[in-house]
Amino acid sequence: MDLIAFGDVGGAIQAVANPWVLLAVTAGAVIGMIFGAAPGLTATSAIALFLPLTYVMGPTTSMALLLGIYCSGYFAGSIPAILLNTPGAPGSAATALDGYTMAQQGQGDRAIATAVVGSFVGGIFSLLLLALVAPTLARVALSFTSVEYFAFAFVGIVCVAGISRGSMTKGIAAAFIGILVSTIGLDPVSGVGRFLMGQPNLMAGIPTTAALIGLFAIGQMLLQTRKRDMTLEILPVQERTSNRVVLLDYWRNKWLVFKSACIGALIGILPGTGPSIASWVSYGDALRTAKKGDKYGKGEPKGIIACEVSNNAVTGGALVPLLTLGIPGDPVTAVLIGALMIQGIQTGPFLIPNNPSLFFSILLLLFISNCLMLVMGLSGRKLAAKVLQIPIGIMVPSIFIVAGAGAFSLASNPFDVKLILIFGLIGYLMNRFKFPTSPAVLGIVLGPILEQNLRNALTANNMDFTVFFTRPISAASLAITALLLYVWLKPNRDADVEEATKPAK
Amino acid sequence: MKLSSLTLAAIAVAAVSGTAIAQDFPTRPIQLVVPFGQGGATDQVARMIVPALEEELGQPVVIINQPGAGGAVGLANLAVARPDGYTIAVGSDSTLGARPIMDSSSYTADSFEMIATLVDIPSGIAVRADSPYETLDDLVEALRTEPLTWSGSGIGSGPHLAAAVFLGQNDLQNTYVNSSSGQEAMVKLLSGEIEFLSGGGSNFPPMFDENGNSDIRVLGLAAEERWEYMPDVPTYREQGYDYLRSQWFGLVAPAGTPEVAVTKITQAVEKALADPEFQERLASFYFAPYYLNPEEMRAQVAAEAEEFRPILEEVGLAE
Repeated sequence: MDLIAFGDVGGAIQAVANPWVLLAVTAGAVIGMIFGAAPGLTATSAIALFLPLTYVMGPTTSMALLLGIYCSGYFAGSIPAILLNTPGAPGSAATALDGYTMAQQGQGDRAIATAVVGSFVGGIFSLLLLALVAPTLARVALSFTSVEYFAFAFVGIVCVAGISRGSMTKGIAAAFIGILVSTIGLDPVSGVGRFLMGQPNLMAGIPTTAALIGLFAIGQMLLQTRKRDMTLEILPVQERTSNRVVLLDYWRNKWLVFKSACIGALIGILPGTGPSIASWVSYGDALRTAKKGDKYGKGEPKGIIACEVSNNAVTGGALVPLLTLGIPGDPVTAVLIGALMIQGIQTGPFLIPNNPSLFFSILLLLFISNCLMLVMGLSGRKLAAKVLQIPIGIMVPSIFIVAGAGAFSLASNPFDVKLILIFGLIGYLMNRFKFPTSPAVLGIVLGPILEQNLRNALTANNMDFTVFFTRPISAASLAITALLLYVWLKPNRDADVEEATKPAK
Repeated sequence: MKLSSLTLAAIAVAAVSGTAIAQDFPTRPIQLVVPFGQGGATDQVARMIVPALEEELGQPVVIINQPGAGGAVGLANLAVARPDGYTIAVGSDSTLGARPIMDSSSYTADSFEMIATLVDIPSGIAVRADSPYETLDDLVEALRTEPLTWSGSGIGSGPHLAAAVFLGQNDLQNTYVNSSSGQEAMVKLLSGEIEFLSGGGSNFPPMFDENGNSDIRVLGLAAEERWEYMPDVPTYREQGYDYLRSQWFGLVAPAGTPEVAVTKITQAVEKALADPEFQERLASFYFAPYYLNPEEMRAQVAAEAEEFRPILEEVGLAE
């Protein structure tokens, strides 16, 4: 990247220091907060929705709006995850594990502040990475084939099953329920329909977001309605936490923060992955290195740090392949390609050489939107906690309506509304019988990645399964998986180990 | 009976506005279903044609993205929508010609009235820049002795079928590795997982810098003449293979839509495609205008379906 001249940097600063651009990035941050926090509406849907508006904007203004949505949208999903145990987006599902438990213990305010700071740190880290080593990293990511993708997804699914609250057996069972659900629809490799039950809407498979809304939002609300006394499972009055306490948490865990940021950014760079995988993998890694006295899954701030840092580190990471190769790193950047093309900007290997000042503008805008997210998140968290004071008689029906509208908005298809009801029932039953729901969501996300890449890897290598062990990155990932299983299944971990060893084979 | 969203929406709107007389068409907004997600080629085409349609028809045209199953979900829902001209969709060679032959699709080309085609993109084959195959001939010769791996954007998609028909007609060995999008296929090509890639021509120009340097080499494009955006790439015919294949997009309406409505939209499309300003916008996405009237479009779908059938039967996808 020796072509970068000071003139380009100056041009970028000039382009960004324009009231309209700053207004757009602020508007984007507000929109992202709202969409991220509402279950069913995600940063991806917000960007898609606001894409047509950018037709009339210049390239810098349109990027300002969309990048503003991107950063705060990825963070905001953690607010309902913490306060309502209902992740606003799939990437925040892991945050609910410790976040909601913290809220139950009156530490919701600290949890949200931790999540905001984590998102900021992750976002800034990935931004630096993008600025410094984008082209090199993109090259490395491009050397990965189906073999490596399968191995990564495999680590992810083992992590999630191992991390889940309560029995590991039930965690694994839930992950398999998710994978089973992911087999519905057209077979990704041969195109044959599976479990369609005469329903053409099932050809596309079960949309992850619809399953998420159902399993979490509807399932939770159905649980609430069982209670006869009409009071929401009361969370204690939430203590206020000073920002210093939170920052101190970060300082004490700087190594964990660094590791999670690396995991998030690297997973962001891999095309076809996204925040949901990143947050689980770094949570799993945090758990692997847990010290005595850590209470992961029972309200451990470090759990939130791991998830949220890596969740937002995906943003800069995912822009690496987009800006250097024209290949999106996650669902949001896929939509960003369209936004750039609307402006007549060619995405591809020559985007940065041909538009150096745009590249700097994007870096600056990412920085600004991360700062806005931090300020808005920290100052607005009192408001967010007010959600808990809403009476259950209003809360439950409102969430049903928002969830239904969110499901419909996915593809303007009423079928998705039916789906969230079905998954709501499944989520209710799983909760009732103490099966964790997060592994099921990750099963739905990872199932197709596991399946397609396993089949592709074997097809391309004459059905020779040894490729998984002879390619170094894949072999290393599988070794980590074995190590994780060993750590989790060590006899003194918890009571149900005997039960767990069987299905984990 | 299952009511699709579109049916429901159509009924709701009809109840409010009363029965519209076909001659006045259109008297209210038209919904344009894009059976793919935002940002893809189909979506881009739709977003470009919408302003032109709005101007010609004097009513808003609202895009509804209903992605899934390579476009089959949106079209399956369109097939049962109210045939009044207020719900139309973007179809393509693969969704109209190939998908109905395949397993478990719930519509055929007869479920729709053809309106007009919009744009086409020649299909082509590319390899990595460091590949030993310099020409289409080199690749074909290699495929006679060993089954090289290749990919396109999903089984039954335009790029997959384009190469599958070519390979089938020339009786060449090959191993298809699936990708769920054209970009994923490009990742596989660059990572060395596959040897060659089948894709729409519009995927290729962004991979080249102004001096023509790139990580990929395009071996040929299956068009009648050299493509204006890549004049250095020879056609298949020039290299001795009589094979033409383009990916195209067009508009369809549910079967039974009044002819008046169809004709009005057809005329609007024809006018838009002839507009130089519109052609310029298409060019920024490497699309070329391609107009067929309803009869020609139906004949095109039928002809391509016949070519796709043996290929789909061979890989066990035909019903």
